[in-house]
Amino acid sequence: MSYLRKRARLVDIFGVEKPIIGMVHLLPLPGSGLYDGNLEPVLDRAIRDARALEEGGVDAIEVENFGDMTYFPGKVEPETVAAMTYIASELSHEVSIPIGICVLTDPYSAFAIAHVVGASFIRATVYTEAIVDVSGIIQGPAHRIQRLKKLLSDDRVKIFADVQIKHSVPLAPRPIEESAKDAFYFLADAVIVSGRFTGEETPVEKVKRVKEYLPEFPILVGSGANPKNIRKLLQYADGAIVGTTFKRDRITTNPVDVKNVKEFMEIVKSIRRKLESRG
Amino acid sequence: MNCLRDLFSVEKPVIGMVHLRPLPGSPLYEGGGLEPIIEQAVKDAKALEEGGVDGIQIENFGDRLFKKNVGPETVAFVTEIVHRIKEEISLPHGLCILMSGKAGLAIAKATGGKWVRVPYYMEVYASYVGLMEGEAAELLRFRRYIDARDVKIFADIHIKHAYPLLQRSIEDAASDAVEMGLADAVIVTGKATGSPTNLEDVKAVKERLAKTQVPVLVGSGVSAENIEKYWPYIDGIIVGTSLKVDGITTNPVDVERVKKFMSKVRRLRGR
Repeated sequence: MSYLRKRARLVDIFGVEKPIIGMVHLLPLPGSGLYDGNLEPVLDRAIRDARALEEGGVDAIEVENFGDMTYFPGKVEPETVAAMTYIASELSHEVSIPIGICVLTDPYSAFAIAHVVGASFIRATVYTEAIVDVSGIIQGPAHRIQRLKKLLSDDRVKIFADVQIKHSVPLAPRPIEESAKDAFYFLADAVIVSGRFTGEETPVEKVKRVKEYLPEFPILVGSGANPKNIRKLLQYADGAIVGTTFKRDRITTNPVDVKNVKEFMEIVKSIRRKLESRG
Repeated sequence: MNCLRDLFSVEKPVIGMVHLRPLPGSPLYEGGGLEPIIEQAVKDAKALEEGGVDGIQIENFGDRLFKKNVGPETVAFVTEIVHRIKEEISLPHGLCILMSGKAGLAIAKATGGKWVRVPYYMEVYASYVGLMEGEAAELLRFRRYIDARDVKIFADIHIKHAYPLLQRSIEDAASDAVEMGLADAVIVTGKATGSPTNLEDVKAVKERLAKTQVPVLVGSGVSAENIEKYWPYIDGIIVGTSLKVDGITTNPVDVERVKKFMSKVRRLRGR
């Protein structure tokens, strides 16, 4: 399988082992149900959150149109692409850590935006397989993303693919480790394992199963990481995407609270130190 | 009413074209990523500003052959390019995305654009990309839906490079675009990019729309040499080709040509 592109290691992307990616959950964007008519407050809040995450010591941020609920299934419209490009581009000047893009629910558009704004990765909430979520059936866009990647000659933007993502079930049920193997085989750079809902703990058992099945493949935790469970999760996971825990009062829609970020990152740093001392 | 008065503080504003080089993925894309494209666009925009135009319009001109619907990559590219241009200049800007008014409007909304040029606004045209259907009804609703009512719609009437299936006078078409289609301004063009606009067309449209006060822009082939003949009948000018080096559309903007054009305009304004 020598023609399969060599996958990047997380340490090459983020400069550390066990990277923590902090979520910049965008307020509702133009056209979405909860949008309030003005884009500037959306940008202001995103900048504030991104700076707080960087100050708190995360290794990267991920920008997501979290407020656009419920989401377009599979393909967003141009107003979402334009607004997210504008905001992500501004954010890329505000922080010096890597940026990732997550467009709910359109990883193809996410890739285009990531390419344009100089982002390092996308989170593809659907990649291989078809899933059933609140918007209906969404088909995996892996084939379209790989062709776009080629068309744009883009080897920078990495693909972090969810498998059996929260708020959904796979159309064809099967063990999560098999879904993960397909995501890897079809050229994802890492897989993301999550709980059932945003903010809900990712079961350690699930992460463990995937890790044991695919020991060479980076695995990120995609929901519910908190100061209490992160030690356990990082025994098997190679990093985590963290949102709710960093927010004021740990409520997902609240602004980032830098105190929560620092508290969490202290624990992660102690885990890293232990790893290093073990060599 | 004349929306140009609110957008620009001058009489008969001049809008200079920033024609983008082929974007990544389009047939004539030259490689090297987005940066050289941004660099050229920023240079052109600065030259237009230095030369004294009143606004700029950014268009994915290099992406021929144009798609009836553009993909998210075009929207992302152009948004980023506009964003970078706006860091360098302070002129008001509008968008033209070939061939999607919807994409243009979305980018205008995200980047603070003041207008969108819509080549196929009303009616059905047999064009060089196939059959093109006007998107007015959808676009007007889309504008409400994304809260972009401050983005004005500049609608082409009998657009260049296309023939209307509805065979009637251009002033009848203009009247419908304004009365039924609620266009904020109309644009009259010649047969092709850079080719002169027929003066009789401009006169007829202006006369028909006089009582509505909806502004009429001339949209192709205007130069320092011929601007004077259009002047009494127009409310604004969109100019591209004649401001380019050697008057070739695909060349960079020539600041000396811009200055010459604008000094002519200022003389006409001063009369």
